[in-house]
Amino acid sequence: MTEILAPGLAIGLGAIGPGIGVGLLVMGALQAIGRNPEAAGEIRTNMILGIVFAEAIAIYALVVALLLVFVGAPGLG
Amino acid sequence: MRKLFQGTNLIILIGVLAALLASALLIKVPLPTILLPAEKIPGLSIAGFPITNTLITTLMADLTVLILGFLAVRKIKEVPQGLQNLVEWVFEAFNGMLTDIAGKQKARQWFPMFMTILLFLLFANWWELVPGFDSIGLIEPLEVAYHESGGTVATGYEKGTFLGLPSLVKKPVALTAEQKHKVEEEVLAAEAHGEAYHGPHDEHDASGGYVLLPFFRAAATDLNLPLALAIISVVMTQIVGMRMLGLKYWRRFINPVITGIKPIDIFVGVLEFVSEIAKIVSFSFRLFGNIFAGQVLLFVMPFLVALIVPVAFFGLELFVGFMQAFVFAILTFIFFEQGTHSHAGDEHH
Repeated sequence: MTEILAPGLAIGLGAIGPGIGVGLLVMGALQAIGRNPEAAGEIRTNMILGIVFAEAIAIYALVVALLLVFVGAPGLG
Repeated sequence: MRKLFQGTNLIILIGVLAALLASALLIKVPLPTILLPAEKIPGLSIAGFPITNTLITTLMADLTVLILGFLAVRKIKEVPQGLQNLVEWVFEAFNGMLTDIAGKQKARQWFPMFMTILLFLLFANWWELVPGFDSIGLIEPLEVAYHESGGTVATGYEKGTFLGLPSLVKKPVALTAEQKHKVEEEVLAAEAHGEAYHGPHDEHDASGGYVLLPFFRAAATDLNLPLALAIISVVMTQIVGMRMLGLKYWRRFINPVITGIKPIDIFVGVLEFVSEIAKIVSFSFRLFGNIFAGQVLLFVMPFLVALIVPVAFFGLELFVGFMQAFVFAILTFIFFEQGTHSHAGDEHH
């Protein structure tokens, strides 16, 4: 049971933070573009960079989940 | 809104629903075996190094970029046409974007690096979407796959035929603890004779399960490719920084005593050094994680509903494939740019 639950919890809980983070980032960027459409290109590039860094945290959780699925946790059985 | 359910729309809607129903009831697609390391193709090797299916796809992506480049410049015209026009448009758009970020001189200097990473990764990711990827290959007995994967793969499918060709059908077969034990025994026996393991000796002992070993698999689902690219990118950042700033570049990490060292500078230098290592990890795992997750998604969707629904996810993967290639390339470029910021101006403040 733990083998099935552990990777699910790892990626599920790990995705909450980045999900909120990406939402906030895009919200801010869209508001900025709405107020200043001329700067859209620059804002978009920086938004993508921010999303990438937020997403990296979800990727760490994904790696842990993949390790749990394919390699298993020594000690848990 | 009412018009949506009239005339041809209604016919299309009913058709789609009927296709969904038919696919749910009639078409049974087995779930491909999801395996973390790339599968080695048996019997193929160069100088003792086994050839994996991801290596084949990497070479295909290389060839695609080469052929595209060759075709685009074969007949260069003053007024571009066709492929030359497309390539020029794409290059100009990206060059303009890089100029906005780093200025004309730096953009011109690092554009080849940026575009090489972008184009290579783009095709490496997009090849995955071609039908036949992950679905054409060798059919191996389950016991061999169990041994090769070190015990990870323990379920396979029964063998059937599709259009006269051997294929797997959606009837799962799992190895029992007894059979697993027998495989381990037979592997030891085969190794004692100096032979490779080729499945159970006795037909009656065989589990009857088979596993597909695909010839082609998305290149970035093997961690080796993202890791190699990440190391290239980070090492190039140091080289580019050295070339542009000379020995001053290393003041990013260590501030010499002459400049009036402050304790905070030592701490910042250590942080910079650690972030350089962290870059390799986040570069490689970002690409690997996204493409691997995409591959699993493309495996699971046809397994759940075989018709129409997977098309949407192929569209998503088209976007993700481009986005990851772009992000890898633009991050490399931005780290180049950050690494070559001269700190000389700071001393005037």
